[in-house]
Amino acid sequence: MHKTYFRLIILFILLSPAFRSAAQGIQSDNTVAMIRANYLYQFANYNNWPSDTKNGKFYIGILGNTDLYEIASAKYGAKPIGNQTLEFLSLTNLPQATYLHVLFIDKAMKNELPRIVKELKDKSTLIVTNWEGALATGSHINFKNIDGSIRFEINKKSMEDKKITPGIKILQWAIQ
Amino acid sequence: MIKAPILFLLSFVLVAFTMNGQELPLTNAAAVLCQDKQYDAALAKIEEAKLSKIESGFPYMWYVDGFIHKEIYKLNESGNRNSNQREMAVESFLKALELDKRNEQTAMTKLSLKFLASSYYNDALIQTREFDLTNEQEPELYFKKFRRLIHIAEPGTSLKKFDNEFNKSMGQRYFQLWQMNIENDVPAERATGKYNEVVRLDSTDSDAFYNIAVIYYNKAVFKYRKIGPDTDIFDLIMTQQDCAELIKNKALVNMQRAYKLNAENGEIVRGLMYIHRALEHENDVAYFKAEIERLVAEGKITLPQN
Repeated sequence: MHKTYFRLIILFILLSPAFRSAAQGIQSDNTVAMIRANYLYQFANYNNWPSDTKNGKFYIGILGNTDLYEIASAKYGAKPIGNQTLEFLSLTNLPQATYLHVLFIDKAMKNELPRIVKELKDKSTLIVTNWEGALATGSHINFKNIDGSIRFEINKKSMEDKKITPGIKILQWAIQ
Repeated sequence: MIKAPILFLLSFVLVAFTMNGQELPLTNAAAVLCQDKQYDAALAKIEEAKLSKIESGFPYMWYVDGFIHKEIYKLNESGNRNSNQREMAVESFLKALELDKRNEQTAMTKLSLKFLASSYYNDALIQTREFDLTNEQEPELYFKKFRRLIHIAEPGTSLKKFDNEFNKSMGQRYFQLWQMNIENDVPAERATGKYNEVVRLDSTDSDAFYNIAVIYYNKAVFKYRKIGPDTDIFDLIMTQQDCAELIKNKALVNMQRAYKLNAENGEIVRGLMYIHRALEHENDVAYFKAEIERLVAEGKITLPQN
């Protein structure tokens, strides 16, 4: 009798909603996008563009990655880059009317790279990508994941061909 | 069917009138007053019995004393975690057990101790919902009292289930405290410690593995959230190395254990998807995304709103 009584008390407590060991909430932030957004900001800040591009806004276009666009524009949008104001654009195609200082092309759009490289042939647009082998096909800076950390490799010569001077910090931290 | 408390009282009165009727007049009088719910008078009478050299040597006197205090506790102080009546009841029942060499009241005394043990367990669990870092020892204290008493009252009882439930509740509260102030890692470490204790006792507890994984993963996310315009590239790389350690070597391992134990749990599958996304394991992300879609299609989970 008493055993049952005792067990009922305990059972009541264990079944009450407050004591069910509810699952704890996992944060849904896209951490890769958070890191890449910071890198894009660093690239804008530490590389040097030709003087004729230093008017108006500093545009970074993001092709095929809305998470990255949302995080980058929320955290770094409207920050100053020299005398310019930074603005991110979320793209599905290369804009014809707007000059982009930086263009990030997501892996999902990798097939677009050759065409984009051709279209931007005469423009000082820094192309940033995130897939293996992209530097060899026209990208200037490519993200790589090394043991869970995102790093980047650069094609210094092709950047200089575009009249973009890589900053010392960028060269210093680029993987060889 | 006679209800448990009534049966308990009947046996109490039966003992009062048969066993020690001649030797224990004060104790018996207290027992009768207690039966009549005249607790103040019963208490006064049993205090007299305690002063009697003869009666205070009987385990039955201490049993009656404990019983009266227990009844007063139930009547007036059942919501009071610091109840003196309960403490006094426990001490008297323990004294009764110590003196009861012939086991005349041992069974009844142990039943009363079990009741009190359960009340300490209740208080410990209630405390796990509301403690903070200034009084985190309180639920532990009540739980220790529960363990001590249940061990005496029912030596064979397995405490694993209670230990795990208590540790999970503590872990959950520490996790909440951490969410309230993510700058302070102490609650996160304590929560991890509690969940590790759960899996040490029960390596099949998928919830605990999941919760450990979430703590490590969220720690990394909170570090990443601090990255901003003022972050130097060197700091960005160092932060990533710290976070990779948390995500790859701690969160992933524990989430995989949870998944092995409960592959149909949507939260676990979603957790694995986020962890693999953070590590840029594209194939795994695609696999677990498909798994979530399957679980939704089969009606096993519902997607969160928004």
